[in-house]
Amino acid sequence: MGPFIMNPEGVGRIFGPLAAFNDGPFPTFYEPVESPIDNLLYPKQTHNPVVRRFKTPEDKFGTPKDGYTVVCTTYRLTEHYHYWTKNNPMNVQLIPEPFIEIPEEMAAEIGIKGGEKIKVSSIRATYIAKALVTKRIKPMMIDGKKVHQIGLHIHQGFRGIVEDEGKDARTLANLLTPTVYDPNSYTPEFKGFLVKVEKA
Amino acid sequence: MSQAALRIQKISGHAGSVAGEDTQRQDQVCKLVDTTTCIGCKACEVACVEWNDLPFSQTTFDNTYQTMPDTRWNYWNLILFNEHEREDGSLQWLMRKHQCMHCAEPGCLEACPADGAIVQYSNGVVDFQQQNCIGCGYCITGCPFNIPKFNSVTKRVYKCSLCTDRVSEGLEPACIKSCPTGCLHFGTKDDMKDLAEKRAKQLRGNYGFVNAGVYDPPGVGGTGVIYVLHDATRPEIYGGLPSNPSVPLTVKLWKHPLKWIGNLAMVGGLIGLFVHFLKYGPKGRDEEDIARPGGEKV
Repeated sequence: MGPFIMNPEGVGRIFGPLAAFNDGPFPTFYEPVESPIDNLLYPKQTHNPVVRRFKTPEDKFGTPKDGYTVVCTTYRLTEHYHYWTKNNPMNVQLIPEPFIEIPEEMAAEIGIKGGEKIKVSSIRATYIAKALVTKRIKPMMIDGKKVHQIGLHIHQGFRGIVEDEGKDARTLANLLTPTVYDPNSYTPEFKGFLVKVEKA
Repeated sequence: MSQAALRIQKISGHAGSVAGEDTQRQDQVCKLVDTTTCIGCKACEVACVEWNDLPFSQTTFDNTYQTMPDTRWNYWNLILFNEHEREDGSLQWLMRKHQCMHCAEPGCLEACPADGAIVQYSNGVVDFQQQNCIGCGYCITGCPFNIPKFNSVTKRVYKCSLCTDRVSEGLEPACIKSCPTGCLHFGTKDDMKDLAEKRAKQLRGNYGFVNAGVYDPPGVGGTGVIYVLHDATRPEIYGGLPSNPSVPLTVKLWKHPLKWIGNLAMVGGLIGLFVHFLKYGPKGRDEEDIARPGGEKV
C-alpha cells in the first residue's frame, strides 16, 4: 500500500488548475531567454513561450551567434542590503567597490590579473568594474562546449560613497540584465543572461 | 562572571608584586571559533567596530572578499578568506576570524616595558591600557600572531579587548552576539575545550575531515581564543595561522637572562665605584684647571 491512503484511488494527485498558471498545469524545463545552447528537451521551443516581455526597442536579446557567449549572473552580498547601504560607511568599508568575479582560466584567456578593470557587455549595456579572479567558479562543459560563467553583485552604482568620490563608473548592474519576467510570479530573469567580456 | 573576574593577575613592566594575586577564583573565559561553520558574512567585524566605537577605515578592492589585508589599530577583528585547493583537486573556501588570541603567556605583556600598559585579568583577558602606553611598539615584536597595531597619531598601540566592558557585566563579546550561524561560542575555557573537542570528533567521524582538530597552541600556554579547524595539522592554510607559535627568542632573552646580566653589570659597576672611592679617595682638582685664565670652571 502506498502512502496516499486518504485518497479513494490510493495514489497521489497533483493540484494544477488551469487558471493558476499561465504556462500550463505542469512545470517543465525551459532555457533562459538568453541561453548559450538550445533546449535539449524541446529543440523547437527553447524558452518559455508565454514569458512576459516589454515591447520597446531597448528590449533586445543577445545570442551566441552575435558573440555573447559568456553566461553572467547577478547576486546580492551579505555585506550590503540592496542599493541602500552603499551610503553607509560601515557597509562600504566591508565591500568598497563593485567587482566582477571571473574564473582563473578566463582571466588567463583575456590576459588580466585580479584587481584590473574589465568591461562586461550584454546587447543592452556595458558595465566596467574591477575583476575578482577566483578558483571558485570553474568553466562549465555544456553540450560538449566549454562555457565560462561570471558573476557580479548588484549593490553599487549611480550614487553612493564611492560613486561620489569618483571611484566607480556609476553604472548599474541591472542595465545589463534582460527585461523578461516569469509569467506567473513576475520574477525578473536576472540570474542568467549572455555577455561578452573584454579588458577595459 | 561579575566584576570580580576582572582583577589583574599580570602587569607589564611592573617591579613589585601584583596586588591580590592568587587570591581570586580562577575562571578562564574563552572564545571558540568553529571555522567549519563560518560563512564569511562579516557580521562580527561590524559588531566589533560598532561596539568599540572605532572610526571607519578607508578600504580598496583587492581581488578578494576580505575587507583589508591585515587588522588595523581601528579594526580589531578580520575574517581572512583563503581559497585552498586540496590534494584531490577539490576546493575549500576557508574563512578564519583573525583577532587577538588572548594567550595565557602573552608575548606582548612579556615584551612591554611600560608599567601597567598591558594587563592580564584573572579571567585570562589580555588588555591594553592606553593611558599607560609609551608607544615603544615592543608588544608588536613580542606578538607571535601579529595583532597589536600602532596608531601614529595618538602614538599608542591598540588591539581587541575581548569586550571587557561587556564580559565584566556577564555578557558575551559583541562578535559572539552578532554571529548568525552559531560558529562563535563564548564561555569558560574548560567548557569551550569540551565543545571544540566534540565538534572535532564529529567532523572526523561523520564528515570525513580526518585531520580535524582543535587549535589551542601550547607554545603560548594555550589561548583565550580557540579554533576548530578542518585540518589541524596545517593551520598555515588558514591565512598563516602559526602551527607552533611562541614568544620570540629575542624577547625571551632580553626579558630574562639579558635583563639580569644588565642588572648585575650595573650593580657591579656601582660596587666597583664605591670600592675605588674607598681605596683612592675622592678625585682631586688638577693644577691645569686652576691655572686656566679667568679661573672659570669648564
